[in-house]
Amino acid sequence: MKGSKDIHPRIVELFDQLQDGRLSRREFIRYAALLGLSAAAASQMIGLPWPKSLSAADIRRGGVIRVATSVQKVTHPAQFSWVEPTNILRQVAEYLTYTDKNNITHPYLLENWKASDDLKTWILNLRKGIKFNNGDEFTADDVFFTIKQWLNKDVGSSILGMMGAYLDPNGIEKSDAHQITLHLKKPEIAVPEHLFHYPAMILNHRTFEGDFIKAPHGTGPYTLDVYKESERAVLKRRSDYWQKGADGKPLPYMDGMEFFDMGDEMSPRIAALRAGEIDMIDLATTGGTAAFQALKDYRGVQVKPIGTAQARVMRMRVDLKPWDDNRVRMALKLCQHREKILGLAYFGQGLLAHDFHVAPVHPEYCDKQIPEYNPQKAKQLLKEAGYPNGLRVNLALGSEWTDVVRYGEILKQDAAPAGFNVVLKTMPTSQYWEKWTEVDLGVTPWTHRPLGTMVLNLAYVNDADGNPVAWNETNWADPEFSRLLNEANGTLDVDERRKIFCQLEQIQWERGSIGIAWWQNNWQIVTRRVQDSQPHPTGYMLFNQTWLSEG
Amino acid sequence: MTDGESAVSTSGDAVDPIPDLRQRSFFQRWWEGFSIIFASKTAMVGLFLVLFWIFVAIFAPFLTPYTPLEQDWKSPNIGPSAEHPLGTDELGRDLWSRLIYGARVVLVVLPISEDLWIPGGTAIWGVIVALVVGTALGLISGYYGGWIDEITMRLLDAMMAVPIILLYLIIMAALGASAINVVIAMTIVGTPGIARLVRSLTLDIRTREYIRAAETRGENPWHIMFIEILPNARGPIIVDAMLRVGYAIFAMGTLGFLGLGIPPPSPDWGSMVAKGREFILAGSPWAALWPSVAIATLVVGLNLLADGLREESMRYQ
Repeated sequence: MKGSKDIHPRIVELFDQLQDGRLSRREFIRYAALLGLSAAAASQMIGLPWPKSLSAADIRRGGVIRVATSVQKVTHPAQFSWVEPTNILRQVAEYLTYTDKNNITHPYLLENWKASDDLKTWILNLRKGIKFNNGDEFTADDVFFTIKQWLNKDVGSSILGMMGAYLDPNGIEKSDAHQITLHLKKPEIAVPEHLFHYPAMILNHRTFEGDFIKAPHGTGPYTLDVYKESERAVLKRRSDYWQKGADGKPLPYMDGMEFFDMGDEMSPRIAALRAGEIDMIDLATTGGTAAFQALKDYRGVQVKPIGTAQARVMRMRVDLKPWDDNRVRMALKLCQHREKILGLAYFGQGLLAHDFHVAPVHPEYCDKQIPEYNPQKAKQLLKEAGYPNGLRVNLALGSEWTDVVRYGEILKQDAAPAGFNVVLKTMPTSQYWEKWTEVDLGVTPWTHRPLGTMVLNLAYVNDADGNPVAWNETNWADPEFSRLLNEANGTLDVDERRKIFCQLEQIQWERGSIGIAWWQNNWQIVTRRVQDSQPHPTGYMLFNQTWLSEG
Repeated sequence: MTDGESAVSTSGDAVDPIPDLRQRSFFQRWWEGFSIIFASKTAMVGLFLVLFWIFVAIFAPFLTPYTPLEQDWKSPNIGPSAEHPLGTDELGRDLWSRLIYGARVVLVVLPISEDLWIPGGTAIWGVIVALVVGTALGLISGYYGGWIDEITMRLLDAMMAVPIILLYLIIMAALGASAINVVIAMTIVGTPGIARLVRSLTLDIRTREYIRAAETRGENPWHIMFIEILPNARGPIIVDAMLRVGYAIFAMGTLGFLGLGIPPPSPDWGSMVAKGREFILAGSPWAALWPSVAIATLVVGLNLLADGLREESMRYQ
């Protein structure tokens, strides 16, 4: 292994750690994949059999899957701000990488990637022989064009907020027809994960003019036939897709996919699924508790759970009274009866959390004991902070997130013995999003991200000028925390990273600005006839291998 | 005064000879007006339903061992049992206790803030305030006529042109969720209808002789409007108000259902339905069923009462 020039030197170190037992197999595959080794090769290195696809005889070709979702107005894929339209269009256009359900990122439209030792130069080697559905060949020009679009301020993509911090438009270099080199301003390990961010679809540079629906030319397994906002979208199978199925013929197995906009209400979708009129409900942003409750024991329906780093974050603005006093923040955190909250607000479908924004599904997670519900100590802390007679606080909640409202109601009840009078301020969810960074106390939903560093960099640091970054909704920044996080951003050794994360988690628990009582499960809900569909923590529909059985 | 009261007697109870009126106290007369309820079966059924809810609302603390906010996290969403006669909601709160405390907010108390409340339910206050504002506007428009009438009525027509539910949503989204704001929203939404009704009654009554007489006496316009005209218009206004309490309860339910009513954890019927709805398909319909039944019975009760009253009071006209 050590002689191989194509393998990143860190992989050798990782392999040594694996053999010493300091790294689990899953972590090894994850980190080796991060550094450009394919997951299959990494599996071979550790002698783990790569999960084999089903034999061709079992798989039935044909059929059309019907999905209930919301068919939203879309134009420029880089501007996507909801997952649902990407679940339709990701079957048409594709990404350079893909992060699987275990949070391992693999090359996809890339053959592989190579990172320099200092993690500042990333070479992306593109897969050859891939064609867009209009016949154009997929080359470095397309990738060059697409990344330029992401970093273009006029496009206004959310990727700019992520990649803009370490990559300038002039840092993209087209090294040859199938190679792109990224020259970063600072070390970054999450480049492959960012390439799978949902707006990061690769566009055809010859035909794309700002509206994907007008020129739906992607490399994906389906072509776009109909896209009618608020009505439906119809996709048809293409015959020359680059991936082959188990039977040696090109994927996909299904003849097409149909997406129906069934409005915002969950009950008609549940009824339609029960009646077999649709095969799947897209739960990417709607939240699946209602569907889970109604369908978990229903015959003919498969409910597949998956653990995520998705959370309802009780966030306290540290620049506003009374939350500028850490004792008050700690007091409210101690008022969370976590077991009860998980049981009632989310029906026990998840894991207990510990008021830091790193989840057990993250590879660098450092295990900590879950804090007890302790109103006596909370009362004591409030007294020390100068509120011996208790404290009245307003908690802002989006009323359409029913689990958030339940969380608020439980907190109100359980914080009362400590002296908190929590007044619940419910408002329509759209109204909450208008002021989510402004309210002093509120509950904000945060979505799943595959790496532990990603959210911490988004929400708990200051920018170069010392101002809170755009999504730092609590205005909390801690010099020690920022220093350690920077260190973690450039540390590949999982043991070392975890050591840093143990400290990061401890700091965020001791003096941080948030309470997180539980990590949510997500579900994929499909009928029995849908085969080989995997749930994904972010609700992405990765359906290339999916097929439909009879009936 | 004289003419006014004789007018009441002719419209209310034509059988009584006029001279008797003078010797009877206010309460006796009130009771006579009230007793027409007993003449109508419809009104009696309505009265029974309404009195039931008023009774449980007033005596709520004596009718249940639980508070409406007490959570039992070991037993959420259970059906009716000996311990919980109507079952529990998604946080293990007793549904019967939430239902009757919810009736308090509708009919008996108006929570101004967390610790301060005033008597008279949210729906009642919503109707009373709308009644005061609408009556004043209607009297002024109808009595003065001319450009005052034109301006007031066109403005109110413009308000009526906006769909009611939309108007509620706009007002509540602008003001935020609280009981006081629900009252304000009901006032804004209810005023135009009441003003129109009162204006049409005023237009009729102001042509009567006793108004001419009062004018000749030199009474000031306010005296004529509120002392001469208003008492003679009260019959239809009372019936209308009764119906409006029903609409107000519906409106509270709708706002609560949309998450714009009285904020949680208050046992608001509308928000109880909204929250319980999530569990209907999961096999626990109770949390959504009971508050729906409560809203339905109370509104039907009020409508029957209003219908009965109208029938009886129209009979001799």
